[in-house]
Amino acid sequence: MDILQGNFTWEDRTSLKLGALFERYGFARYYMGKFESYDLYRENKNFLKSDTAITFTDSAGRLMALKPDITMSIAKHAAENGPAEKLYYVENVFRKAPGRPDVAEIKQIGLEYIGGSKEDLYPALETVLLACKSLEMIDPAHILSVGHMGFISAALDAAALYGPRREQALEAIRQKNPGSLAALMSGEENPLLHLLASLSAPLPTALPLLAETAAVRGNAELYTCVEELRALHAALLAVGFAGQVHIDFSIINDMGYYNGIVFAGYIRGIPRAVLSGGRYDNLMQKFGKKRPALGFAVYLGELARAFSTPPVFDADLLLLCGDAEPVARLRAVETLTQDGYSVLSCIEPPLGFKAARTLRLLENGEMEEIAHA
Amino acid sequence: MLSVALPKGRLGEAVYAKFAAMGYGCAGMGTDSRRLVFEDASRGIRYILVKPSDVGVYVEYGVADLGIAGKDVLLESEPDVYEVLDLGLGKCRIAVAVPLDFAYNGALPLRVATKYPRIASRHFAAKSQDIELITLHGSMEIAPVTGLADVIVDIVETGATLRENGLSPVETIAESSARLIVNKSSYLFKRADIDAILAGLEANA
Repeated sequence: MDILQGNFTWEDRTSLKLGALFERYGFARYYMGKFESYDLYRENKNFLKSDTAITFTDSAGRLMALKPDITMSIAKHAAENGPAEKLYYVENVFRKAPGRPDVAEIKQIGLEYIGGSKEDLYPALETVLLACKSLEMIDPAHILSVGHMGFISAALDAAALYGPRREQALEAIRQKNPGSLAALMSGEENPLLHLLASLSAPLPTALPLLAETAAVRGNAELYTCVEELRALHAALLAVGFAGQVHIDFSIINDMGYYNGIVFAGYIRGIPRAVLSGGRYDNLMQKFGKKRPALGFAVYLGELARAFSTPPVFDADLLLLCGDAEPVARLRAVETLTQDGYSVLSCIEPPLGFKAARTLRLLENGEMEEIAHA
Repeated sequence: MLSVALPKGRLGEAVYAKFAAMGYGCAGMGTDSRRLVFEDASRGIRYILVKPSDVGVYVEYGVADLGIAGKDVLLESEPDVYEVLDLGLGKCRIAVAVPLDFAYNGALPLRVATKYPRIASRHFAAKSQDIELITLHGSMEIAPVTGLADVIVDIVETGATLRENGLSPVETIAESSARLIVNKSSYLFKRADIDAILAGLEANA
């Protein structure tokens, strides 16, 4: 019996397949405890998707939390230097999710690529490629939207947007609202900011638009970011995965943690992002580690609603045993399970129980089929 | 097929008129019917009529690709959607309004009645002002005169209703008007259709 066709949930099967994908690229599974010091999250609330956590006091009197996030724990415990660490995890996190009234347990699979030199593009290329492949594995109708925190930051600096106006500008870009951005600039035209708030296009279309903007040509920092995106495009093109990657600057993560490319994955028909990630060198620095780091997480809970289908049958066979001797009953069940069937043996069938076939155990130890679904 | 969540009432009717003028009319809309879902497959459009405060929910969950919602509703419920256009309709402001003879007793928390508890909480928290929040769902104006609250946070258009109930707006929290919102996933996968509607609404603004 194919183990993946047993009573495994869609989440179980998908996390196994994604884990196998990550392992083919040299990522090792990282196992971690369920708890972490609450201070870790209290001091880095802006990194979290939700600032609500379940806390408790452990036997040593320390305030602990059920983990609302995995990346932070991995970053905290990563080595300060040495060879690159390529880790993936399949863990449950505990946090508030959209629509849930309280903290919920959410299954998440993700990977982190830690280390290497800041100038080396390979970790970003491989991480984005795996994000693409993860989406492809789930559904061919997907788009990976890629933004760049460094590009946004440099563009806002060039427009002299600081303080509260910078926050308003970020909100306008996040909402894809060029009108709000124009109002912020008091009607003064700024083609680059307009592009930031309106652009959402495949890489081959978006890159020339960015590169040809005068502000980009005249700004070394902006130009460098565009060249990084261009290199990403070239790499994905070389391995056949460029077609469903878009540039979209509305993907904005906290600049205190994210400093380079950021991305979010969408599946047609699913209203929210099902994958998100990016480069978080700044988070590593907060933990005293001067190592680059990238990663992403896939939100299996969001996907399960769309892809899970309830099993047709509760078991392959329902064996009605009447007043058969327990040994005879056990012998019959053993025979059936060794043939690969799932079996429920009982005297009276449970209400609503669905089996592909129903058998009756006879006095001579043989079984006869009395119903077939 | 594009699904559009419209708020029931005058605002929804005004926006539907714009959609119809752009060629997205739908038989049955605007008639005195209790139906709430209208569809024209040939035009690739479906309208869902919902409570104004629910538009953001329908769009965030992807049941509607687009929606029309007041900025006041968006500030209160903060749905995870794109807010791509200010339609300039239904202009008003969210304000703190007080009785004409209001004298604040700073020794006690300010009792604030509102149907915008999150907007009110954020506003007063930003000023480090301690409040007691009373959430109501309508007729905010009578809360101070009946002694339920000291002040209210509510939308103000001309101010006539406030004046008639002995209140005066003293502080504007935010400007509000009707906004076009878009589901983030729909924006990627139905871009051409959404851009066509956006262009039409911008041209008619």
